Amino acid sequence: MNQEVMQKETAVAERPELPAVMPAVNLYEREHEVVIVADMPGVSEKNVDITVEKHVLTVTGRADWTEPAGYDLRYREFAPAEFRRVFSLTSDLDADNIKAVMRHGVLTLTLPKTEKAKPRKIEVLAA
Amino acid sequence: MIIPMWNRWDMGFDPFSELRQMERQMNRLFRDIHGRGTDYPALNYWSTENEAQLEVEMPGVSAEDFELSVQDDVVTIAGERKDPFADENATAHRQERAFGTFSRTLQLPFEVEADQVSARYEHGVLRVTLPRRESTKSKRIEIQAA
Repeated sequence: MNQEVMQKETAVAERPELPAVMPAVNLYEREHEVVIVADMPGVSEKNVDITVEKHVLTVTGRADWTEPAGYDLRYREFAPAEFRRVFSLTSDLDADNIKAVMRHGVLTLTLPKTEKAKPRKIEVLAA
Repeated sequence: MIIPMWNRWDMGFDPFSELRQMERQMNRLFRDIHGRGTDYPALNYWSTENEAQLEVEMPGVSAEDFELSVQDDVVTIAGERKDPFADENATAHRQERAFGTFSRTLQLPFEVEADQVSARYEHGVLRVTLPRRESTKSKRIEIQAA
């Protein structure tokens, strides 16, 4: 086995496959922006990955906390997981200026509307 | 609701976790349809002979929003998850996240030393450490030779 393949295998072993879970999401629209709020319990700000590619926004969060060592697991209802959700962006959103905040396991994405899409007041001229 | 501790997964893995995950997703789906709150947060329970650890999944609250109480061997985790967008005039296009009060009660196999219970809230998961009451710990008795 050559070295490159071996390195790849260790990299995979360090980041085990986690079960994929779809996070619960709220979607709000304000006058100048759209806000996506996603529940990702157990995910720290370092483990969030946000990508935009051809109007497709992918949000991934790895909840891979260290479970208590030296204890016996007696009852389980949730486990380390990978939160993942894909959104398609309309052209009226400015994909280059997305802001993301992670707080207490909740990811908040703010997507500003493009200048063109913002509501404008049209002055009516007297004839 | 009190959950008796009859589940024992000492094998180190849980063959039903996948199934339960699906059950939770289904429950969430139906809960959303019925429009109910987050009244029933998910929890994990770990223990040794003299200590228990609880993990409670509750993203988006602050540490002060939890109410943790212990009486003998019964632990109650309650609180409220508030919607920061509730007062706002934003149009909601999608609302899958639930808000409101929650409460969960658990009976442990031993009495807890209430003064020494500690809890930490990190990244939306509450972790509670519950040490066993000293007087209920099993003691080794020396047997004297005649």
